[in-house]
Amino acid sequence: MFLPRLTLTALCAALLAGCAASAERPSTPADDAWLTRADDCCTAGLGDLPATAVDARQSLTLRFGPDTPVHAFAGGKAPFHLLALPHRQGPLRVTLTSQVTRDADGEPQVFAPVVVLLDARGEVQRRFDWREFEYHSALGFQGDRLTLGFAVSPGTGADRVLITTSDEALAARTELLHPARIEARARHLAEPPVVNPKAAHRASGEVRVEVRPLGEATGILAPLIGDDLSDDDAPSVIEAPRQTAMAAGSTPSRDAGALEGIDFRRLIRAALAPAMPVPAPGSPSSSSSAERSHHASERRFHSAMARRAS
Amino acid sequence: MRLSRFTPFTLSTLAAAVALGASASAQAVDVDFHGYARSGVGATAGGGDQACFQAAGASAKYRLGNECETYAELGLGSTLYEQDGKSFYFDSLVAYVNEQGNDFESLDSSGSDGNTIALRQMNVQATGVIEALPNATVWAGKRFYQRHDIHMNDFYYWDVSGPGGGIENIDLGFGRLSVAWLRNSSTDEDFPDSDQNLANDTLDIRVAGLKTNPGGELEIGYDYGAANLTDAQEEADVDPEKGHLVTLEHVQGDWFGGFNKFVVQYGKDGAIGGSGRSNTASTVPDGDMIRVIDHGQVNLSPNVDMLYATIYEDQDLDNGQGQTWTSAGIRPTYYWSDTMSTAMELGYDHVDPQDSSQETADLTKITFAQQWSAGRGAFARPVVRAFVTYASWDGDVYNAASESIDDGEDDGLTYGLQMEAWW
Repeated sequence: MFLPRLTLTALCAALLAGCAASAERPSTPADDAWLTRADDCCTAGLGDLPATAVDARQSLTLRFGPDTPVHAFAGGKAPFHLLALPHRQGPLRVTLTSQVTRDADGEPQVFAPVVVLLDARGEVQRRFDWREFEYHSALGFQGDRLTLGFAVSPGTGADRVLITTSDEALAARTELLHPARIEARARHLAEPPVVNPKAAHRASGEVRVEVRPLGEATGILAPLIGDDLSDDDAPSVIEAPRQTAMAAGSTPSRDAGALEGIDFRRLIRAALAPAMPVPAPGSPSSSSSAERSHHASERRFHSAMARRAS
Repeated sequence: MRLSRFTPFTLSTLAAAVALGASASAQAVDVDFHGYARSGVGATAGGGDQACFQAAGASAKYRLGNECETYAELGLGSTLYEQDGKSFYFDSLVAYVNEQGNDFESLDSSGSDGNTIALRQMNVQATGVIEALPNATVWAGKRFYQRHDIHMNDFYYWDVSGPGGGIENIDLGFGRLSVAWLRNSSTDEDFPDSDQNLANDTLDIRVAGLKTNPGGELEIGYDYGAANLTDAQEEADVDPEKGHLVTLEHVQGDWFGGFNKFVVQYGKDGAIGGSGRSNTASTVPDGDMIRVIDHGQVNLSPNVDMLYATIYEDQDLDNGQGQTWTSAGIRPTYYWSDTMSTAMELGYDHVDPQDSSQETADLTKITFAQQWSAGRGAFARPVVRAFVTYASWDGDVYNAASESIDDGEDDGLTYGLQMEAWW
């Protein structure tokens, strides 16, 4: 009888602990009024934006909010982070994830990213609109989120990645799958025609960035295949770029690194993989035909909803 | 990953093929791993393992803190072909159940403990293969077929799942038509060979997506059940039952952040008390049934949501052995954060036999659970919960629980830990 009573006591303690805990408050500002008050950090243009250097194998979380530098882009004034890609370390795969969160009223919100690839002169080489992010419904330990993955061969033609948002993105909303529909799909129930919630697009939030050598195995097979994350690959959080801003056309000091950092086996594997073509040097490309087909995710979402509604 | 399918975890055989040095021409096959699971450990105040409380005669029980077994459904599926708007999706699922009494529990079903394993899905769904019906799906095999349930008490009020086939989601312009033929065999002791299969067939016809009001849709269905007799069974001059079930379900999809389902069902003869799968045994009494259900989920505040359910089911049988089952329950949950919540579930069941000489059965249960879940909301899973459940009933009439509760007792308290997941 001792053990059950002890367990019961522990359960009561757990209940009381739950009651004593205070409700978490969202870390993002209540609104985006701060954005209208913010000054342009860099009036000289895209080539003058401060950048943060990233490694060929790095995870980082970019926070967008009042502490983030703001620039008046062509698409509107917006906070931004600029990542300087490592040169001469082979092609990379960059994956961005913007997690849906809840505001103080429980309403969903999400930072709707716009991603721009700049060359060494600060010229725009490629732009990924927020619509090109793929929506993933909540599943297991992961909540609703927007993701985008692309492959890039860093060089003078693909030097930096700008993550920001735009007036057009902020004016839109992202439709989420209602949890009752998620349960129905998982449990093979008739999917109820529940109205899906819509997440407001915010200028505040977080974007998770994963940079990996192209072709590196990830996921649950990685321990079998190898090339998993190294122990020192601790994720970092960036509120604002470090003060090591690089002028347009400058070459990152890490570029002096020789070819010993290149994993040729990985490059061969990447070249063989039919679903993940290696782009031409210096030219960014979407990483797979599957990902290309996932662009305009919201349109696909609606058509999928129509097919599944039963 | 496609959005048209729920693709929880994707295993890329391509990656494995590359790792094993296979040809670069290997085809990528994405496998969807999906399923459901619950398990835990519990005890009863006063000693013994966990007791679970259910009113005598009731078809369901409010489940929070009131599930005594480990149950899992593990499935694998894959789109094996997708081209030019045509796709073939293969799906499979195996279910496991045991009484969670030991580490090593057999699933061979040879014992009396109910531990067993069951193949519940094995089907192919072909979409877009009929040119004139591009949105329709032709399917065949064992399948969970458009099941309707109440999550709070695990009550499936419309579920004709089984081996079968049909066509679904035919666009009528004003709704979607689905027609299916399914089977759940049984035996009938009135036949000379009582062990011979009695092939119970169900014809299921339903039209869904009928717009009724802003945010509201109606679904109408009819299930006809009858035995498909062999020549020998025909000559035995035994008349198996037939069953009829008509279902109307209205769903309000913009209901305080959740939904409300209002259901009316009328069943006759073999379909009485069931979910649409008729029991055609000749011993089944004639009669009729009316069932009214209202259930759903609402968001009461940013930090509180609630599941609710009410059921009224009146079985009027010609042999006088019918009953009226009334049930009501609520499960409000307060969310301390996106990962921690406190839930309370209050449930009441009342069973009134048609034979007035029999006693009625009542059961009231209340559960408090501290929960840690992956996300916020009534349907956020996985969840780990610590629960305490108290139930009371009329102990002079029946025992509402397992052997941990002695006959004659009229209440009980259980506590424990449980996890629940779907993906």
